[in-house]
Amino acid sequence: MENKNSQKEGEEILDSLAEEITNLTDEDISKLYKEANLNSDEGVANIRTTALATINSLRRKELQEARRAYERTAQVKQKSKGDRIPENPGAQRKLLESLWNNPLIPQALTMSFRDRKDLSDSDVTSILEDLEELGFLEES
Amino acid sequence: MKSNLKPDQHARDQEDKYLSPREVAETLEEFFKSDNAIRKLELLIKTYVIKPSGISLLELERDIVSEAITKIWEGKRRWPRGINAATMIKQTARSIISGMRAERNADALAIGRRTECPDPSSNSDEWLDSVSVKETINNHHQIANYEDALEAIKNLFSDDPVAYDVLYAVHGMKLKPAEVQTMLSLTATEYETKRRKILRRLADLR
Repeated sequence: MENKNSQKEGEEILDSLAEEITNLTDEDISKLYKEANLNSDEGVANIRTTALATINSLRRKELQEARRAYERTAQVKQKSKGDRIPENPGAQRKLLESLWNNPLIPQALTMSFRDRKDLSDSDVTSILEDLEELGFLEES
Repeated sequence: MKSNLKPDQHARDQEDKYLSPREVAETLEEFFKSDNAIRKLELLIKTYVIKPSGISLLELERDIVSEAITKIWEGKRRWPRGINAATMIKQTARSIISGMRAERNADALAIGRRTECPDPSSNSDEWLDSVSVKETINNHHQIANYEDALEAIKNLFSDDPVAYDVLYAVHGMKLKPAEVQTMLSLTATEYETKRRKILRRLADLR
């Protein structure tokens, strides 16, 4: 019990001292260090260096995390590219047919390919790749 | 009571309530530009720690400052708007030091339990375990518990018991300056001299 009381008392005294220090003005602090004849410049420089080094290291960590997140997203995008286009030429044509009447697809893109029968397999693949890049395959 | 706020509204309210990561970064950088702000922080840490063992006070101060910044930066301690940098860092440092004290007390209890039970002459590995626990703790920051910290403060003024009496009357008994002066038969000047001496001794801790 006595030990518990001393612990509590110790905590209260330290907190109260800290409160007094918190309330010191800049002038009080300057005076105090001058009176104590403390060469505190070294201590101040040490703490400042530590603080700024910590801040810089946290900034670097944040940048690295952002870069990693970007790379992960880029990898996902790279991986998904072409995933929505079937490999079979017949299936590709069917997919293109299904998209042809989508009014949102820019006319300029489809104009030169209106007569679908003239399209080669590689033309079909190429149009589908363009459409995929523009995001028209995502909802299909 | 369940909040009627939509999740995005709630998130916006939280953003308004706390500093953004960018504001935190800028405010911390600004704080550490001021020599007196650093001196005050140093004095506060010294006062909370008083007397570490197994590590220099400066090294411990640096560890605490670094950990406080990291906790604030990473949002483990969120920074409410309206709270200034000195208060925010002070509270965070205090919480870190309290955590160290609690850890040390728990470790000390663990050592007490471990060293009482195992028999070194037995073939059990338990004894070895208890030795390795001790060795690990010797490498930890040794922060005195509050009772020992109080004792360390008393020792700090062993050459001037009146200064300790002033400290105890003000901070332990919560007496007002006039009451302290009457109780200890001090003039206002003598009281003020002792009060400044207390702060100087704390600032001079290393």
